[in-house]
Amino acid sequence: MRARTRDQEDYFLARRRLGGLVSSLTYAATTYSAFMMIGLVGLTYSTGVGALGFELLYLVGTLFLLRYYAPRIWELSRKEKIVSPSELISLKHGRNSGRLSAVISLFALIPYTSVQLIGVALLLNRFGVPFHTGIILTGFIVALWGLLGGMRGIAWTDAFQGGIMLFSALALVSWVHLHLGGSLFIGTEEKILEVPNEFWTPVKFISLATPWFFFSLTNPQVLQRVFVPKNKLALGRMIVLFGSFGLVYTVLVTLLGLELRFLTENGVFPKILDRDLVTPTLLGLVPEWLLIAVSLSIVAAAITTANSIVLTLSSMLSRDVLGEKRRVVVGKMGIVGLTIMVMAFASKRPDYIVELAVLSSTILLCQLPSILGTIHLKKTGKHSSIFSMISGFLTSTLMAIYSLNPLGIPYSVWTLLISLSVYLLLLRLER
Amino acid sequence: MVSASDNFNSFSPGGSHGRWLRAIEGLIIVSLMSVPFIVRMKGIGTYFYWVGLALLYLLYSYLEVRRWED
Repeated sequence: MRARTRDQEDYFLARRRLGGLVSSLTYAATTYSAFMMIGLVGLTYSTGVGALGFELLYLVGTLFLLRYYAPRIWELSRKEKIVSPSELISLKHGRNSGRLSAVISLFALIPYTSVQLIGVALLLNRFGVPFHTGIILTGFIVALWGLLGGMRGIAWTDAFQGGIMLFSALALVSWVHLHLGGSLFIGTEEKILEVPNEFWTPVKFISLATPWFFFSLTNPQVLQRVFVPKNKLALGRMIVLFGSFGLVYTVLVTLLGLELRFLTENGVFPKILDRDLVTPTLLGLVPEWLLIAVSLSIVAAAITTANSIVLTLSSMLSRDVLGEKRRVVVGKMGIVGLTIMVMAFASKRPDYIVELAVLSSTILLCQLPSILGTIHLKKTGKHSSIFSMISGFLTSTLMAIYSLNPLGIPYSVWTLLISLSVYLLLLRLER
Repeated sequence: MVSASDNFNSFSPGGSHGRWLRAIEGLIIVSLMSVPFIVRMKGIGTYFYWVGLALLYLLYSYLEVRRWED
């Protein structure tokens, strides 16, 4: 392994030589995390079918954006030898814009990465492992994985673990249906099968779905995966195979949530108030082989997402913040430091998994105008990028902290509107 | 600020015309995903509507990506 990880392009991008299948599975395993098997199952259980729409809007949004932008980003990354996602922004907006983008990503992705550790720790807690021990254990594995293999190691293990995630979700849904007597939720309360309902109001849907729709462009850990397919054919296969994986996995996960809700209404499954505990409670009822398979898949999903994020963030820390573009050791030190920060955040268990994940993506929305500017515009300005990111970042964090939705418009939409307006206004002035 | 990659924009498929078509496609797909919030569907109709729509869009994406091979 050491002989292979000679430079940063190899360590962070596996020398841009991955085939379509491995690229698609690493994209899927990076995207789909503990958020799905724990967060989304619980969200569907407690709020109904709106959770399916929310997750599928992400999927169609990703297909739409990748089909349009991935070939351009892929080609640009090769032509300009881009390794970290923030270098895309630096390319046309100057080095300070890229540096700022890296710092914002570091800040924003700590809650999302902590989601993965929280998911595994909650699961291990059901088996008697104290929550904080679970956090430390998961953090250790995340760091170790990234340190040993870099992108190549992570991509191949992602591919393997993606298979486990899909198989175990299918096995769990089948088991619930056959052994607990689920009946495809026919007869379930109407309000759970309809939108809008008490939770899924149009405003709530827009609030959660807006950052999700742009996830593929604003989240650096998935954006970086667009750089790695070996040719355009592999890139196209990555998009379609990822879409197929995502659709099947989303259907299975939401089906499970609705089935469990149906079973609760019929007195077969206990009523769960903390939605993040729905899956861990179910795992207390399943046979041992299934318990092991599903637990492994959740741990795999969480770790593949977390180590991919930590690897991407370490590339940004090394190249964009510290300016080290050759040696890998700085990136490796970044992996250790970032993992410790994530463990510290996760140990406080600040919110529900879904809300934490959406918060991260909302903060990252402030980078969207600069990314789109890089792709669409021939002439850009450095101030437009810097101030649009600062204004969007402040909007998202302040509105999230104070729970503000001025004029009834969700804060994710405000973040997008403000950062886009500032970008366009300053761009006009700079020209 | 202009970079060496400015000519990158020159191969935008369909030029500005293609860009507008893409924007319209995005608006259509978002609007279609929002239909259950406007038209109340009974039973598991919403579930199958969303899954069916995503499946169709995946198929459409597959057909379009296949054109990259040409």
